[in-house]
Amino acid sequence: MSYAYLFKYIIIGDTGVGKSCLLLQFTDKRFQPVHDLTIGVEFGARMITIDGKQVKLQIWDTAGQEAFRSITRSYYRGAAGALLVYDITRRDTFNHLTTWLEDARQHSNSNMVIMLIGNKSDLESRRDVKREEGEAFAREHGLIFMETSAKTAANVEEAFINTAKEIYEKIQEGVFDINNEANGIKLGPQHSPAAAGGMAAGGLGGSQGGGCC
Amino acid sequence: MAARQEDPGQRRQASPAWARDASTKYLLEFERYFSGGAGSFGALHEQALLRQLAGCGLRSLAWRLFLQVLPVDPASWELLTKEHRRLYSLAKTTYSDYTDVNDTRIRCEVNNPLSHDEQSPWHRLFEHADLRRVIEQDVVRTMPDVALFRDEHVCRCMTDVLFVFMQKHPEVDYVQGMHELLAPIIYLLRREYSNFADVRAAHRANHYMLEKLLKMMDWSSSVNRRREYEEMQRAPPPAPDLLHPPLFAKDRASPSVNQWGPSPCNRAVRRHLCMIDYDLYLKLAELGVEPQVFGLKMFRLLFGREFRLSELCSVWDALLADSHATSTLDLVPYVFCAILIYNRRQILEREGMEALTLLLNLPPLPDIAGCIAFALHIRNPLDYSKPNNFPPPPPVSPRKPAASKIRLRRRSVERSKSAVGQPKSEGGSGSASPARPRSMTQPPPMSAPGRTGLVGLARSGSETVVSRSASATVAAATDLVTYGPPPVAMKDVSALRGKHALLASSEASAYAVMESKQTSTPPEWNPGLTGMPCKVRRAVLRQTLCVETMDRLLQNKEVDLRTLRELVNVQKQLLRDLWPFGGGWSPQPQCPRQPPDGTSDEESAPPSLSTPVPEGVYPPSATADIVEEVTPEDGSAPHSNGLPAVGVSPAYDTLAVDVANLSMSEATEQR
Repeated sequence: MSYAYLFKYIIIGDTGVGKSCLLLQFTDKRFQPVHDLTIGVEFGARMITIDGKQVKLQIWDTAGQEAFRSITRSYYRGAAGALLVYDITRRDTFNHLTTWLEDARQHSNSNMVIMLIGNKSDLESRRDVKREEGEAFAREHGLIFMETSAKTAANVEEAFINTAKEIYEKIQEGVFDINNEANGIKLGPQHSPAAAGGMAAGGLGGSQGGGCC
Repeated sequence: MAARQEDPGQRRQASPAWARDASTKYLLEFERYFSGGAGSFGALHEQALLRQLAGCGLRSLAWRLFLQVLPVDPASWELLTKEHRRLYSLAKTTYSDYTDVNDTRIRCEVNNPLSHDEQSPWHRLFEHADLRRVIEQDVVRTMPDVALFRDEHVCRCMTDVLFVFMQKHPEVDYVQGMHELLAPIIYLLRREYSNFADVRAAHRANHYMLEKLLKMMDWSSSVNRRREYEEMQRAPPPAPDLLHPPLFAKDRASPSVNQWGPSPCNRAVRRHLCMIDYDLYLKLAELGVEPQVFGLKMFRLLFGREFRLSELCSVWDALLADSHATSTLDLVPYVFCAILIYNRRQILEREGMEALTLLLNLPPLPDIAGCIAFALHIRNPLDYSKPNNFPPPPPVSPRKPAASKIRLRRRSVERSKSAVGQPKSEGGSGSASPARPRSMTQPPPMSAPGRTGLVGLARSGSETVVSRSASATVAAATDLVTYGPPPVAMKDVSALRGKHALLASSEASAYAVMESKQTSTPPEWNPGLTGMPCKVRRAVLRQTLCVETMDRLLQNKEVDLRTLRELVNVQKQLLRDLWPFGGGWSPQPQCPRQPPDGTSDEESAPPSLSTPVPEGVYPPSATADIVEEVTPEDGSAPHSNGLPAVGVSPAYDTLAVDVANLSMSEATEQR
């Protein structure tokens, strides 16, 4: 299926916060109460529409355990967006956000859009991190914030789509160099220079067009 | 191999008399496999490799023997088991003993809950609590679809085992996935124990032997299974080659080095898949997917996610049995390759993201026996014949009537006869990779007789009587090239003589496949029939240079040993250089191939984890000088489309000719 853009995402956060469940909910629209541990990385994709344009999201779901951190790091670089997830019922996962953020900032391109997600919002009775705390953290570090529930699907779509919108806006503003794939953005095959007229300057070179050297 | 297959498994099925009576079944199994008498362990080993242990009620015992938890001789089992249990209990209590927090002899500045001193008993207590929590958090997520692992007692038991293991092995960090290695063991012991308990109830104290068995089955009670896991963790990792760095070893290297040991996956693909299924190998290279991205899981969990639990036990039978002699999980990379090859058609058909999604979520493999047999075969084709239906034959395509295929092939034979000597620049295999070692340069033009050496030899084999050893060489090569039903028993040399012609015809059919490449159906797994002739030659070479065959040659003839050794070395070096990830050359193709419609290159998939080595740099190696000798220095550029063109497989061709000439001269001598 053709698309105008391809965005690469990465999902990061402590183990057990629900990264894989978020992905499953977003790509398959289902919830698995007990999910297999992610060993290394998993992968999912889905098409969304932004501003009337088809955008393909390629999502890398990473293992949360510290031992896998070196793998995770190598995925930052090629990502346009990151979902940084914590579990609102476990404060330690919130406390570790700073480490995750530092790591992400250090290894990603500076324009990567990071969305902070407080997951498991359905477990209000076991809440350990206030919504306001999440908001404050996001404000302080310039992130977008949302509370989601992979179980009830609340805000899951929005989390992925809002991140994509933010990336899209940055493209419109010319912040992202779409010719550099290291930014995690790719133009779709049918996206000719003419069609991308509204794009930022320097947007389209010939190399994407499919001409063979 | 075929002769061995007749053994107990089949006889067991054929004799319902004792199959009816469970207790007799146990006794017979014990007698047959565990009596410690001559051949009993060998029989057990064979059964495990043949996937015949599935019905065995004492499978966990077999695993213990394979893992060398127990020796083959049953005499000391009882004693050892008691000792294991005692040690485990001791370890468990020792590690969980925190009474020293009340020890008043330790200064209270150190011995208090708020102390940051690492010597503080409290520090240890908190650390242990943390570790337990971390382990438990993973353990409760073990195999979501298996009810057994939702059981609280089982979870606690698993946590204990892992906790004690971590304490006993401070050099190993806890890594997610360990609990999934423990799971099959717990599952098996549980099942066998409960089955056995039923039998025991029915046949209480009837037999002396049954009593003995009872004791043995007792080992599988909750205590000892822990010990077994420890042993399991201890036994396999020494594999210096496969698991280096060890599966779960601590990361002591710089942070830039991947601590989780990606090399086994990459190596499996580079060393084995490349030789066994070149199309698939090229496809992976083209996708830019590092094998570790999808392979890590398989290596870490020993295929726990690829098979259902009951089937996984069968796979482990083979893995563990195979590892007994060497204490290395040597079969793992081959099973990994077998799984990939099983899914080859689907992988080859897909592009970009779809291919990646498939690779990361390979469907469960139904044919375990085939998978294991195939893994054994590709590891050692001379001793294990290829299973019939693995990889599965393609569905019959109505678009390609057989008649036209034959015509095409015949035409190609003609062509191949005339075109052997000429480099061919077409050969646009859809799955072919732009990747091509740039460090390899083209050979000088070879004389026609030289170039046709190997093929010529093979052809002449069908007409002329060649020496026994030479024919074995060619036969071995031929078999690799023309893998396909029916499998050929490598040892039957006379039967193989007629096959020599196949080499030529397979080369010809490679052309045919090339011609028919316009159709979108991916080539079948059949190394000789899938791609370009140079690939065929590569495959031929691999087998030709196979050390065992070399040995055979050497036994019979006076062949220059040094030459052969060098050839083998060169071959190894070249293989190392061939793989785009972390080999001796840059992973970026010199001239990236652009897909015609631009749809297929949409994603470059995961970011590369490897560090590209500057172009043209060979990894330091003892054989570097040999490569220099063999590789011509005209420095001509690789083909613009990045494909190894027909007949232009540089050093390989030189080698092929060398080897062929060698064998030919040998044959002549004998005559």
